[in-house]
Amino acid sequence: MALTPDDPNTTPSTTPGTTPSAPPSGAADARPGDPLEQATALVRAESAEPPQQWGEVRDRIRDRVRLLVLPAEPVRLSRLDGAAVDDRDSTMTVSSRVLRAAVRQRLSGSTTHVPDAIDLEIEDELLTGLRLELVVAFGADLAAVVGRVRDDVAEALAALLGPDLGFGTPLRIDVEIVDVVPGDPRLV
Amino acid sequence: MQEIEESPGDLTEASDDALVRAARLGDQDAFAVIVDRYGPGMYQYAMRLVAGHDADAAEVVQEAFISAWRSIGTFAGRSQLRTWLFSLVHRRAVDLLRKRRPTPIDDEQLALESPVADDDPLRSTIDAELVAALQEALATLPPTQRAVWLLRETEDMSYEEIAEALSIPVGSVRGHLHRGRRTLAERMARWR
Repeated sequence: MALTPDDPNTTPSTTPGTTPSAPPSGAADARPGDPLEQATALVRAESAEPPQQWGEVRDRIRDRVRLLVLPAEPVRLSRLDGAAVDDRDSTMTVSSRVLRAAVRQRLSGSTTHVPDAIDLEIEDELLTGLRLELVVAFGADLAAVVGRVRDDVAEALAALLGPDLGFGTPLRIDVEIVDVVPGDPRLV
Repeated sequence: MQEIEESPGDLTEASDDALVRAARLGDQDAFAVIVDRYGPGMYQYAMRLVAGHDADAAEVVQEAFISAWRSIGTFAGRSQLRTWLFSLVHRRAVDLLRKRRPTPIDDEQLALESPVADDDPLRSTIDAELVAALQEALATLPPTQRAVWLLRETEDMSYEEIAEALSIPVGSVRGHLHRGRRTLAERMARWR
């Protein structure tokens, strides 16, 4: 049998009257009452509790994450009359980060599916399509899920960008189911 | 299967996969659960890796999590989430140790970090000194040996997970662990 430094079989014999000539790997820390073993056990016990300053560190991490601005692109709002500019010849845009968050939130309320990826296709500040990857609960009616997801996504985007999402042409929403999991995909 | 609309409930019960999936799409609540789940262990690890310097350990863990937040979209799930997070801590700690001049270990700080046995002041003092002695001995190990020992002995990682976290071959993990244990055993021998 191959021995490793972790293997209890590498522990030297401590039979009274015998002294191992050359301790094998990791021998010194494996004896009962060994100071290293005792100290290690204490450190392990210490690790089971959050460190004293952890609360402050955690709060700083959360603050920094909240303030961190990830790369995003502007997406132009549509108007009922199909015009891309308003009366003052100016445009209004929404960050792609906001759109992704809206789609994610809209799709996070169901026990049957959850988004795994949300890719917005943007050309010249116009949303031209959206590609969704979904994780679905085992046993869900896939066709019904996809239909429902398309409706939900279109509704969430229209609430932010205006009703004419594709500026005259229907917005393409591709949905791919990439995984099926047993149970609520938001938790599994 | 009937579709039910409901809130996801307690995210703290979500699997790592589910949390990563949500965090990848920008869900800060899911990321906060990851921070709560693995942060304390990462902070302890960083603390021991940088020899008990609070501020350094805090900086290392913060930077590791910011890096995780930025790059979680590229986390492919080939390794465990925990292993990946510890690898981020390790990289930042090594960078910091390279930049930092050696400084004496703060014995008072080490004592503060040591567990206290409420009902036996003598035992408590001995335990605190034993842990402080181990921390001092750890500080004398080369960083990779120290990291391997900590991940194995305090985080209970497998050799494969340690290899992944430190980006070294499994055979090197065995070697570092063997040498680290031997050195620590020698340093701690005076406590017999």
